[in-house]
Amino acid sequence: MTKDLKYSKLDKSRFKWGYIMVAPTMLGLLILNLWPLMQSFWLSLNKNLGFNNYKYIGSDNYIKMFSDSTIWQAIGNTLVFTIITVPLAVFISLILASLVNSKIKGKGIYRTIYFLPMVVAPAAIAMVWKWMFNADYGIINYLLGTLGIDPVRWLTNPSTALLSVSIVAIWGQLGYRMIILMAGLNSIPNSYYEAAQIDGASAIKQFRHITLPLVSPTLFFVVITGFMNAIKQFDIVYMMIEDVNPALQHAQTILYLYFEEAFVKNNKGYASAIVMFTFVIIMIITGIQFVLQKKWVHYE
Amino acid sequence: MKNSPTLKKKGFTYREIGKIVVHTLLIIGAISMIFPFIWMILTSLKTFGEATRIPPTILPSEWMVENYTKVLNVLPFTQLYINTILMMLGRVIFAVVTCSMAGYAFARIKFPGSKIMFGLILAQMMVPGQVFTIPQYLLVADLGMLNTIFALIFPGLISCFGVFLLRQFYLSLPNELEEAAIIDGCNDWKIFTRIMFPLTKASVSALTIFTAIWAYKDLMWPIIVNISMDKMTLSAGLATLNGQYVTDYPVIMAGTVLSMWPILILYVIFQRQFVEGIAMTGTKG
Amino acid sequence: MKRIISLLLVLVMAMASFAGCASDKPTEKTKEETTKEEVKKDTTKDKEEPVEVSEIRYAYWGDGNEDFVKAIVEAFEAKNPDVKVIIEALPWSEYWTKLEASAMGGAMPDVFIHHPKYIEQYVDNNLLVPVDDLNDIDPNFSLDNYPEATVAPFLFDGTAYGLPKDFDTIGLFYNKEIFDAAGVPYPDSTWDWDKLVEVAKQLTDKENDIYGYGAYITPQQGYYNTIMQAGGYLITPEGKSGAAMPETMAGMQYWVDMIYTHEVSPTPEQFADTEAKQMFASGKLAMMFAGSWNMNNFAQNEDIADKFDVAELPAGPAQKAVMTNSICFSIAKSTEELEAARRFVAFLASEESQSIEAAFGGAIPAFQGTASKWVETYSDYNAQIFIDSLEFAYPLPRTKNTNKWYSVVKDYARLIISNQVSVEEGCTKLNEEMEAILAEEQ
Repeated sequence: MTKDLKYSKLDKSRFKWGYIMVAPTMLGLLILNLWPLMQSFWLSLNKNLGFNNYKYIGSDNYIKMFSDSTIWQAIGNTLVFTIITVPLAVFISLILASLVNSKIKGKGIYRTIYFLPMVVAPAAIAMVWKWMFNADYGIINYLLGTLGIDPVRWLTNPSTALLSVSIVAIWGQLGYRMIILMAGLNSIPNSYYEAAQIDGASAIKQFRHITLPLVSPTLFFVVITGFMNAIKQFDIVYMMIEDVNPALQHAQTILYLYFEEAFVKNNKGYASAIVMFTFVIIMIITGIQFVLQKKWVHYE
Repeated sequence: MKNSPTLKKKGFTYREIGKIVVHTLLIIGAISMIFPFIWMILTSLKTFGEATRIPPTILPSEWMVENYTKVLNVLPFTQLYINTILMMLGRVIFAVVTCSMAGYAFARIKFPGSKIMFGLILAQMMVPGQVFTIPQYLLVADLGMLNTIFALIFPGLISCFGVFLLRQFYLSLPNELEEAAIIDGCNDWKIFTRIMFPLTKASVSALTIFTAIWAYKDLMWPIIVNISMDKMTLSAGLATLNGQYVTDYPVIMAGTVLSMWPILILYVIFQRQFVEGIAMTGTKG
Repeated sequence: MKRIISLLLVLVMAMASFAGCASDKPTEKTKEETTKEEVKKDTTKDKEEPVEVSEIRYAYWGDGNEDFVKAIVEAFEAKNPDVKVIIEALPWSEYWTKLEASAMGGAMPDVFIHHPKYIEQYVDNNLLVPVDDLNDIDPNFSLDNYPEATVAPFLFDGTAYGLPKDFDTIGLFYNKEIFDAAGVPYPDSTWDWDKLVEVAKQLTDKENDIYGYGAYITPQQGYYNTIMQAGGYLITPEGKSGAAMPETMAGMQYWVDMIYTHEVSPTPEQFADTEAKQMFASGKLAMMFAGSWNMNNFAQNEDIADKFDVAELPAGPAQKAVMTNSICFSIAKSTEELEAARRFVAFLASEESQSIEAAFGGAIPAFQGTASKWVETYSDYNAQIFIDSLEFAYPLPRTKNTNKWYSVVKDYARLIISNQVSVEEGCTKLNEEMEAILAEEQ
């Protein structure tokens, strides 16, 4: 209240409007995020006895979680999935974005086709791929067969199930990443390239010394969001791997497990512990990213 | 990209060889992008027997429309389209209104506490949404609002990402815009509604597209909060189909085709806005 | 109080966001929602409406293509023009999740079908209405109209919280064409485990992608039966875990051996890519266990309709045994249309309604005498075996919180049957986990 003296009448009226205009968002943040975050933490210390009756059990859920091999396997699966999908997806989409951005014919058509999967629900994408991956009648095995390769049990073999999910995830995200990278590439002034060409630098050299450093902030954005999304993978696994699939344990991600515990087995307390732990993992990984970015991201 | 001697002999220049390579790569990529869609449509028109024939037939020997009638009996598609559109609309309207106001306030008014508040908004963007899912679900249940369209919109009543995006835009507007207006005695609400908001068309359409796509892709939340089929969204309805016709692929493919065409048509019509909108969300970030 | 506060907060948010907003589309929508809510909550008679039509929601598991459900509802509405029934079909895989969610959120369907595995929780939590006092609606109503075994699972302290809808047993479905081609006689009630393996071996023809038997991962239609046939239990009659009994392991072993020792069945991997029922329908399986409720699907599927028949399950080393289960109709305590819901349930449980189901050949209806009508519907098949099997039928294993250990059973069964753990190791670990869960129930 003593601060009042510092501000003019005009300022105060402006502040009033400022508060009014942020009120809906802040209220929403309180109800939809802050309060639920605290509640999630509280729930993770409780056990659900069915139909909304909870019993306080302290850190039991966490103790159970850390001794549960299924959880560790799911975390392992999630990390493997992340390590497969993020670098590959970013790399492929960067190459494609550069190619589509170069002065070629048919740019518009390529763009339309490459962005198609972006506007399709993951549920639909997963179903189509599930059919193509079918070991007995799927088109992928048939095409491999014509090349003399034995059929692969893509989705049911424990060693390939996660890889199959990764392929679908990469395919489904290329479009989105491409758009963002293309925007980043477009913002690089042409004069840089012209100068390099006069110096006789090859296309590859230009890419390394001009494109990469200048597009690195955008690349960083794509990588960060890529990691976040990969760790939160749920829908493709949920749609492609059923509960009678022998490879389930080798493909279920941490959030798939969370969904199962929370809404199928109805262990909402335990599920909250899982999701709090996931939150911590994401924070750690994001933190590492921000430390590492100093090494390779160039902000002008 | 080594140039092969044979091509060189025929008198191709480096530039032409480069072009051929680029096109080859792009065409291979394009085929792998579009093929699943074509295969989906073809499969949806086959009988189960034909779909599982080895070697596979490319075109259906008889066009099976029964898969579509079957799927239409199981899923009330019209209702699913309407629900999905309502959910997208609801989330978009809420996001645009709340984010525009907050974005403006955070960017143009230095009111006490704004830094802390904005910090909270940034922090929320780091938290995985599923942390809020169970409590939000319990909240909707407490309100007695499970199984309603409102429940579908609920998590999208505000959007921290949107606030961030629009604040970036409002920061980039010149100060002269409001200085004159303030001297004329306009309050911030008037400045915002009459001068500033109309300038944000590009950002608002970016936010719209982004919010709409994320709403459309949302799978976990609709599955959780909505109980009856007539309150489901397309994504959640498809998931149900997966539980019914576990491996009757032609029927499932018919379902995916039906779930996809509306948004695909929208995409083809508004392709430019789509691309610009998404690009903006990335580079502004 | 909590509800009021949160409602207020949401309202404030909504108001705040519309202040000075040009578009009033969403306000209209929220208005619509609130009026809908009001209508729902408003139980007092509206004076403006001449005939008040009560709407009731009826939920069941299925795919929405069940003609008999529509036929039964139409028959009911013809007699009760003042009631409108909204049919809500949900897949089995989501049914219980959604029902529990609706129970917590006060959005329960008024009338729905229930299952012995889950009903106790609902009764304990006071979510159901007793339904054994419907004589005021139907003078012929009595619990004696149904076989005792179909009523028993829904009785708690002598009060019925569900009325029998149907019952089911499991049969050995076989493909006559494959038998004929090999010149092997069809299965009959004298078969035992060894005979099944022997014939399955004769009929397996991997060259042509034909398997003698389908050992797919399924509890009620699969290993539950072989466990009982070997003399084991998942839940002993005393309500303890029987997962580690040697007999239980033998029952699991039989299932596993079909795949990996005798090699007469596709692997779980293959079944994950193509469902067992689909394989059977496309002539790839000579024999499989499946529930009586599948008669409908197979008899309507032109690929298989005139090629298949059914027989009793083979006898195990200990005894002849088959799983049986019954389904009931229940009314939610939260219903605001109790009177209409009671009328509807009385009709659903009546002879008339269950005869309609019999004629359509859905599940085997429970009302005394309607089961034979169901058998008549399938006169081309040996459907009587499903009724005859009741002589050696056992109800599904259940406890107070079946769901908690059932999901663990499913997890271990998947690992055991796909050969990722041995039967012994899997059953031992399963037993440990089940004992822990059952201890919590006490």
